[in-house]
Amino acid sequence: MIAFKKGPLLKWWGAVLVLGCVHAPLAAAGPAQGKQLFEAKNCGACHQMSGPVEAVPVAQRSKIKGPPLWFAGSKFKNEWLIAWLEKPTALYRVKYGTLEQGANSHPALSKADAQEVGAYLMSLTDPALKAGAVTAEKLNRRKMLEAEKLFTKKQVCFGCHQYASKQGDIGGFSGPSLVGAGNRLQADWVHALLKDNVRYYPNARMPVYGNQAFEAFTDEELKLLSQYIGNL
Amino acid sequence: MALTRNNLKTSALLAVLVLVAPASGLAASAKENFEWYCVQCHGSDGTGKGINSVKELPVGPMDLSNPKEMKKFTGEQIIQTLTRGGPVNTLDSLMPPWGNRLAKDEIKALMQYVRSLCKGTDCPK
Ligand code: HEC
Ligand code: HEC
Ligand code: HEC
Repeated sequence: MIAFKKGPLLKWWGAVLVLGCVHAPLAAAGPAQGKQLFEAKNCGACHQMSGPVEAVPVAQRSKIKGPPLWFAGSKFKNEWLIAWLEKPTALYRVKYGTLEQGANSHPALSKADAQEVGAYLMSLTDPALKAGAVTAEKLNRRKMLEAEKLFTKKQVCFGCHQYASKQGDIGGFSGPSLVGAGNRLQADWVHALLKDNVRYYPNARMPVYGNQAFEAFTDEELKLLSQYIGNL
Repeated sequence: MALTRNNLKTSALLAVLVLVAPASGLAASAKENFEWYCVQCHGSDGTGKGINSVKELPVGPMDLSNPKEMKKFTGEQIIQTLTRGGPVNTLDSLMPPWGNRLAKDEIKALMQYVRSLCKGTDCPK
């Protein structure tokens, strides 16, 4: 408090200290440091960090440089995320935002930084998403086949997403690969995405299957489909 | 006086137009929507050679430039397919439903755009 009277520089630092003190109890050390790193490395230049993100006109969408991350903590599995930040592998099968086939290269973080940034990203959850709608349990063989039909026949999800079928990895290229999606995605988030993907991806090329003009799936089917993706 | 008032009216109208123009510019043209949502499967000329056209899929994306294919559907049927997906007109479900993503007038405009991709003398109107 006394510091405030001693001159502009001290005042400044005083303010920083006060801010730091206010923020510290809200977030554990990991997320706060991770946020600083995230900003220092300018990750926000390509990722939208506050949401829900607004829709922009289709003609301007190719300027978006990376997927939004404001709901990262609801979407990703912690271990996958930290490992990926250290050693990113291409998820999309197109140059991001285009229809040109290819892989995106991505900046990598050191192991320590990946842990901090991972903790920060995992702290960003969607407050509107209710956890527990879909179980992460393994599906038995019969249920797996039933769910695969939803994915390949009722709607042809693999028209835009690669997935691991019995014949190997097959599918279209415009969406991110779902090979190994079970290690990466939380089933509850997949369920919310399939119901209303405009909330998460207002600017995507993906159709909306959920509950507006009509429903392409019943909610039971959506839950099974989400659990299936959690098993991929 | 009257003139000035008219001028004022005109400039007010102009101002409104200027204000409205960018907002209505937000709505995409059918060509822009086609390029963003449809080219991934149908290709930019509509012939079905988009990047998702891979051999493992149940059917190929329909060639929208082929009059023989396009004559099979009325404009109303195309609007149904675009809204609810292939199965409403006994087509494959690889043709996705767009009715939750696009507004009704955007879908209607897309139907007209699809008609314009047809090549040949016997194209439906
Ligand atoms: C030049 C733009 C750019 C920058 C800078 C950038 N990213 Fe990315 N990021 C992308 C793109 C493009 C993808 C999709 C990559 C792919 O195809 O696998 C991506 C994917 C991701 C993903 C996975 C997202 C998902 O939805 O699957 C995470 C997490 C991520 N980035 C974190 C970061 C972090 C942390 C940094 C800073 C160290 C960073 N990014 C910097 C462009 C960028
Ligand atoms: C017409 C193409 C298309 C179809 C059909 C499609 N998707 Fe997608 N999907 C996409 C695109 C593109 C994205 C990425 C959005 C972005 O980054 O803006 C996406 C994202 C996803 C994601 C998030 C993956 C990640 O790692 O970020 C999941 C899960 C998903 N889709 C599941 C499905 C399911 C299930 C179906 C079928 C019911 C389906 N998709 C049908 C294009 C499609
Ligand atoms: C995931 C791939 C895919 C996407 C994306 C896609 N289509 Fe299709 N479309 C198909 C397939 C496959 C067929 C043919 C189905 C069949 O032969 O049974 C088809 C058929 C059609 C037909 C003929 C059916 C009819 O009733 O006239 C029209 C028109 C059409 N698509 C327009 C569009 C438009 C417009 C878009 C974008 C809003 C679009 N498609 C997006 C795959 C796709």
